[in-house]
Amino acid sequence: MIAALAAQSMATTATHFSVRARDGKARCGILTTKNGSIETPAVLLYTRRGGPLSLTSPDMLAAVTPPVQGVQLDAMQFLENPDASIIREHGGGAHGFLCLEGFPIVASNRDPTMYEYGTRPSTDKEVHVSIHSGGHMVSPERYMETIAALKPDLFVSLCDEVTADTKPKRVATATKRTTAWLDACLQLHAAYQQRQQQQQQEQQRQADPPAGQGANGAAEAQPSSSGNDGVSGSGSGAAAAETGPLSDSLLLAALSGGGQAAERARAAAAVAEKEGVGGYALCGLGTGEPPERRPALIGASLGALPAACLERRPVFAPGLAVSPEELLAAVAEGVDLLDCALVAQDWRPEAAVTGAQPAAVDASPATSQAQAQGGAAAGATGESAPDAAPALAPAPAPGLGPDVSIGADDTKINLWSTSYRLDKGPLLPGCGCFTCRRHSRAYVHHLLNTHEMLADVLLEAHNTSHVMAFCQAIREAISEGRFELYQQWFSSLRAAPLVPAPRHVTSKRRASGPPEAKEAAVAAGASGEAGAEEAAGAAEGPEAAGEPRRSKWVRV
Amino acid sequence: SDSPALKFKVVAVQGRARSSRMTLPHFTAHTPMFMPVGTQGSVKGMTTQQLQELDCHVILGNTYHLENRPGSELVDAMGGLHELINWPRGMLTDSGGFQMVSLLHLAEITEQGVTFQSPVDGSAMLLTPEQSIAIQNRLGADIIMALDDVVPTTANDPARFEEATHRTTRWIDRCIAAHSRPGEQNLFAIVQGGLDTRLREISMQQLVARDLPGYAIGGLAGGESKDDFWRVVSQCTAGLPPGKPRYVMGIGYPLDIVVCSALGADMFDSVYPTRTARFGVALVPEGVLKLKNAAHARDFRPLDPSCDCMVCRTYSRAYLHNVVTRGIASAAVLVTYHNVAYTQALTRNMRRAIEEQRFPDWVRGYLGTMFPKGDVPGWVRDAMDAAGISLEGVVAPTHAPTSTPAATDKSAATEGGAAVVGGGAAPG
Ligand SMILES: [Zn+2]
Ligand SMILES: [Zn+2]
Repeated sequence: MIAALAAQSMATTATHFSVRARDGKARCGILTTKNGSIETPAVLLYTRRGGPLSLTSPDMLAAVTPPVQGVQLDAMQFLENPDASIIREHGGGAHGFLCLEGFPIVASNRDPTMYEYGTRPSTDKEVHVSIHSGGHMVSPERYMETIAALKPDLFVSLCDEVTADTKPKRVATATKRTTAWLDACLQLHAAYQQRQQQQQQEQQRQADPPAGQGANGAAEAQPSSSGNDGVSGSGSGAAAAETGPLSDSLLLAALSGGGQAAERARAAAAVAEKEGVGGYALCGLGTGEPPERRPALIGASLGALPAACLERRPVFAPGLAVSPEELLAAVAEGVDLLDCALVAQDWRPEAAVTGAQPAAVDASPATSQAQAQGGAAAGATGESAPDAAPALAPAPAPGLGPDVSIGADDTKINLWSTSYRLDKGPLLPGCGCFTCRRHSRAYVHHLLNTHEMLADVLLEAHNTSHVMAFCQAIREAISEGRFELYQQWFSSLRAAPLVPAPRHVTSKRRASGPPEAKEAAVAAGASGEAGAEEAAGAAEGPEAAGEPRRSKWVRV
Repeated sequence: SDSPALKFKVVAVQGRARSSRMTLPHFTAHTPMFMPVGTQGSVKGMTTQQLQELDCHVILGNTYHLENRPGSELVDAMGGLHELINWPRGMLTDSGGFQMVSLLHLAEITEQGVTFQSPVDGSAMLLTPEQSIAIQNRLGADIIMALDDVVPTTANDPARFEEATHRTTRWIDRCIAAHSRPGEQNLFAIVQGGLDTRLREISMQQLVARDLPGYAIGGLAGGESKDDFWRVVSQCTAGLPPGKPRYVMGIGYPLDIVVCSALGADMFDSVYPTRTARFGVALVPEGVLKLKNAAHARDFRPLDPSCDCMVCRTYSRAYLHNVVTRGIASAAVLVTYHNVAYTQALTRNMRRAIEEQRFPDWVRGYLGTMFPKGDVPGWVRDAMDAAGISLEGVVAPTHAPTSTPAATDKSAATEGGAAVVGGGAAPG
């Protein structure tokens, strides 16, 4: 059946997608690439300039459980330092150059943790982006040259990005440009899929070197194409000689329209059935629009696409997964792939999520709880620690709930909190991730307190695993037809308000002796009264951390 | 004589160099060994699992930092430093005194101990030998260090060195008396005496008389000339008992590690390999490789083609050039990983060469790679002479056997178009 679908979609495209289950607009699918397949909905690992923030590849990346399914990179970060010619000269594409072999790679047109557009005006021919090496004007040709060097499994077509609050006239211009650039990208994609046409492209570039490449452009092009020969020619003979760098890549058409539903619908309809479109990217979202408006905007884009198109094409939403709720909301509207600012932005610095894996939580609906526990257990088994696991912390008293005074709710804990000073338990009991199998809350708290790099490594290892487990739970909920329940249950966890800490709790915790400190703090926090400005103080932040409180130096 | 917590067995000797097994409560370490520094309970960015993969046998913790945060009582309550950080192998903590003297402006040494100004409220604080040992007893490392009276070797004050030497001896007695866990932790004494051979001799005699499980050579790596440095090491390794480990504190340049090992030293520590990694500098057999250098933008070779670590098996210099030191922590970790791998492979190779009785050949090969033009610094040649290792065929004829100025830095050398700088770089 998959083979049939593949044949149906694109004869030259190895990467293909099929839907396996639906629940409302949410859907489960499988995206197959030559670098492995992705079960959707999925969150892709965030990278900056092609590197995961704190997790080294391959060792720490391979330790993520459930495994990372795919990696997102921002193609714009490869315009310069390194540029396309360097990646081409290397010959291994993004997978080889970045040492991400075995992971499907999605090349996006933006970084989900920053916004590189809009500092300077764009034109009908080029979009302006600001990256690590400064501002660049990017034409479809330059963009596609970069994409072809990266050889990603999926990539987003060039988009004239505008934020959600952009005025209608500018949005209309953006749509017009994005549509025109899609045509240019499609043409170049087709060319880069075939070896011969790619060489023609290179000859064209030699005749007319793009800005920035300078006088050496022509001279460089020759050795680089011979470098390509060396790589593709040596491998698999005649077949390889006919295929270009993007022969296995899927183009995701950028769907623009800013914050206007009608414009988004018009933009989507205009590109829906263009030949060569392998999927869609919901661009321009996560740019300041209120999250509650987002379902309507996503719905406007996807609603304008014929059902048959969506049936075999994945939908990618860049820049949306900044919180678990937003991720869920996007999935509810039919999004299949998300990049991830979650670990990078929200959770990474201080908190390890605890509740996204809906295990052993009273509030969950009976069915989903049973299922989820099964899922969580499945995630944890097979991952039993080979070496001695750290001793488990005493379980919090039943019904006590999360310690909201320290910034925790049922989905995360704030490890800055001094209440974890002596906590020998893992970040999340039952979690099978690298960190939870080896290290305690007390150690991560200490590492945060002392600004050690390892804190980020251990938190990212756990949080990445956690996001992957979260996606797994979402997929299970969809395939079992209980996604809406799951979403409601999750919201209820987060509904626990982030009550600021009463001052007496703070002082009490600091004064109390080691063994009882945690219990005392938890109990006091649960019953304490609110006091807005103390919230930050309760979590022992970087400033407070500079203060050695328990040292045994002798005062003279 | 024999410490219940340390068995030291020399398994091979060649010239003055030796390969040994040091059985500690948590691990049997092989020496010569380099010990990465985990200042605050973590070797920057590295997981303890990675450190095990990299064949680290002992890592360091800094008492001053650990007592500030999280505090030794908390560490004790967590079951010791090993438990807190989940490190199953050897651990060593310093006394805290050196950190105070070097980090805090207003630290002062009196007979009582090290007085210093609290970094929190500016009030006067004191670290005594008894306190240092009590803190280290709570931290629970396999090896703990005596509080010594450190004077920078660059100080020009003979009377102060004389005082420090004798005070260090008086303090070792206070440390020994205060040590509450001799069955589980080994107290090492630290030889002082500056650059004065007479004082070094006195210090050794007095400390060796206390029959401690191991001895450190202190007061070095503080800006003294390389010539002075190796001579002190040579005197001390020759004067310390053969059946006990010898630890040269603060040594992390690969070349220094090799020279000291040739002179009979067993243990080394420094933040240099890990710190320099975070600035994008990789240790390679030719010296160092500065990844920021634009020459690496298109260099698809591994950091060190002769290294079989995860990073060298996987990554190119070109990739690392683009991401190192630009705020992507994973890239800094990759270079750190390699640098630790490099130091561990270096000491492992030395051990094997000593055990296979081909250490002089190994040294010649090492120096030949680092100084392909034969311009081995004078101090290295003199030290090798003292170690009984001939450098024939390695030192170019134009370089006379002795009397070259000490501590000559090797100027930038290029290798295959890539910027590789020789390893004799000065401290700093
Ligand atoms: Zn975990
Ligand atoms: Zn290496």
